[in-house]
Amino acid sequence: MTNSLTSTPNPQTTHAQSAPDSKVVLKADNLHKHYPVSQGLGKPKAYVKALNGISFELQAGKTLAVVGESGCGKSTLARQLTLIEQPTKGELYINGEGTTHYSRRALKELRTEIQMVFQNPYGSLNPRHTIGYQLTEPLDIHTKLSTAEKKDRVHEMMRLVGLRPEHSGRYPHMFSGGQRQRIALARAMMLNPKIVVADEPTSALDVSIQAQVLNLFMDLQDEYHTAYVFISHDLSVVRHVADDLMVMYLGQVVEHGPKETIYNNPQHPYTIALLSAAPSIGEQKKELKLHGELPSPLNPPSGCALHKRCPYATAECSQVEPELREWQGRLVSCIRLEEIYA
Amino acid sequence: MTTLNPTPAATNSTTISPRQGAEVSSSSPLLLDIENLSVTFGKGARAFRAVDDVSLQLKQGEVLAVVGESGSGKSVTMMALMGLLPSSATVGATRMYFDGKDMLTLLERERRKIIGKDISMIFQNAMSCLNPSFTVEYQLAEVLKTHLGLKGAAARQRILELLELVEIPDAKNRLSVYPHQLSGGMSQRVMIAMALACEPKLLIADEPTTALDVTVQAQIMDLLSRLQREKQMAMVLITHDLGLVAQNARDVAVMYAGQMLETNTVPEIFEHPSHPYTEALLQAIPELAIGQERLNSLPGVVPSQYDRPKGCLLSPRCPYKQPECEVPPPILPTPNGRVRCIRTDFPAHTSTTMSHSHSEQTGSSL
Repeated sequence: MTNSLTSTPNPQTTHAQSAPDSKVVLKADNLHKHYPVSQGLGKPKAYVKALNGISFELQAGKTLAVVGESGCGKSTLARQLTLIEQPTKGELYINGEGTTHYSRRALKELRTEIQMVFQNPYGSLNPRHTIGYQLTEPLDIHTKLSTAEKKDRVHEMMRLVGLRPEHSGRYPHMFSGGQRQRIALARAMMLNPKIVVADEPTSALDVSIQAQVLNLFMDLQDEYHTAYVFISHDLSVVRHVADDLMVMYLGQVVEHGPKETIYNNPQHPYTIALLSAAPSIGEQKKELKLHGELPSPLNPPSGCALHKRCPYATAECSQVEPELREWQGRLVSCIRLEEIYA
Repeated sequence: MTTLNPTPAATNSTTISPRQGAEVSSSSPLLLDIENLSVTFGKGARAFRAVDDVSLQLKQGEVLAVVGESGSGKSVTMMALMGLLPSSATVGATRMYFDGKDMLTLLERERRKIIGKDISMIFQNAMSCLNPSFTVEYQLAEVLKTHLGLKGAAARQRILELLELVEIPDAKNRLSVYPHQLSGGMSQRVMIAMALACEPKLLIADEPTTALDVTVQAQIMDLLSRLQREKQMAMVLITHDLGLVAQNARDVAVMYAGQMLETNTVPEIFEHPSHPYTEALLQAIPELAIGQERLNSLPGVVPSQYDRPKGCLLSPRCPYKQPECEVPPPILPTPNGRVRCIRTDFPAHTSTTMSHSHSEQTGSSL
């Protein structure tokens, strides 16, 4: 897989585990998504710049974690990756093929390769259909299996995610939150996709149940060699499942690289702030507190998007837009790294 | 303007002097004293005991964390204290005193004077707890008018003070704002302002930061513990995040399926959990599994109404299960609390790795 198209250096080349057989299954190249917002009659449309130039590569069997506060564009990214929406600019490559010029029919085929698990298992399962029906539906739409084969496949998948096959006639309300998330994951895995995008899959669950579901995610990855895009705001969860970490702020990537590199030594002020904000039962980490909240993406601050909340910000930060650059084995977008770490 | 107001607690100044002394001595009377609380929903054969034999004690100025999975009865316990449960619920207790008043026999009229004033509550989802059709000012004024009789300019003055107290920037311009114009963190700050409007003696925070981002969560928890210290309030922090417990509470009560399984002090519960369930909760924290292939998880789920096991409610999920667990376990004293388990020699002094220096810091900072 060539990566000559990426405008930014590829952080995966620094990854120690990149085996020769690892194949890039998902690649985003400079993705932009701008939503038009009406400002009232006769006034020009404003644009919410939800995504501003996101690039990454994901190999089969690996996990890319995307972290950031609400409103930073994590879920918008998920919508582009799962082909629910078309990006305004940029190109998404699935299995090495660009997707922007695909017809509806071709997109439908392609969607079997990339599936999604949503945040709230209470809202993502249809309360009026049995679990068996909902798990069979992807097979009905995308395959020509016989009824018996479909049933076998559903039962096999239910067993795999730790549910009893005889419960396939039950309705979603008869399951607990953790079980529902297992069902949602089973539904995503039904067609054996190459990529699963999970949007905060455990944030609605208790700690003990969260551990069960995360273990299941990792078991299924081992079994099927699926690539995950794991969206979360919980850094301790991400630390467990991810191979690579991408920290987003206001539609942009601020730090991107191998997980351990970033966790052991975060460089961007925002990453440091996120890590020190997470409640911890262990020793205190590098303390850096952010004040205020995420600015509106409708009217983002000039220069570095973080400069109003960043303790290291100077006058220059409010004018110069930082670019992602290579720094200590990862990509960081901050113009003052040399001075901060001097 | 203060003359309007019969209660001394509502003096209009930003710096509010702490009630009684700032020191919490061990001999100070209990603010909250609940003994053998039980809550049953429904009647007859279909009756369901949501809270069973729960005892809680809390002194002024202390922080108690109530921890447990969903469905363990944490919120129902607090609702029972405030008398907010629906009429299908039967509340019974040997003793349920708040600030010297018996909450079980208190008249409805009297109780309404206490809740919202001396006991107030912050709910999990601030966005949906504020009324979308009224402004921030109106909703805060309602509290002040009902409990303190503040009106007009005096009320507005106090509202501004409260909004500044919870660090809402540009408070003057936020008065006329509707809840949908506020972010999650800001709504939670308004909720906190509302809860603190009458200077409660007890603040119940029911998962106050679960719906928020980590950065905002840190801000809100800083704010809550600062206000709690400054005002010497007692606080019950309901949460399932043990990280928050470590940083903010002094005592912990672990609940499971309506029962209290263990009570203990904060550094102690992380270093020497005495109940298998506490140990399992601690081990499920991803932070403690760094470097491990898999996370430690407790198999199964909290038993529901129809599949309660006999004897110890945890027994189907417990790795240390013995034949004797078929009978209800006794409540045994531990060095700093109590535990509901037949094993007196529970050996779980191993896997948790809370550093000593930090736990001491946490303890002394409260």
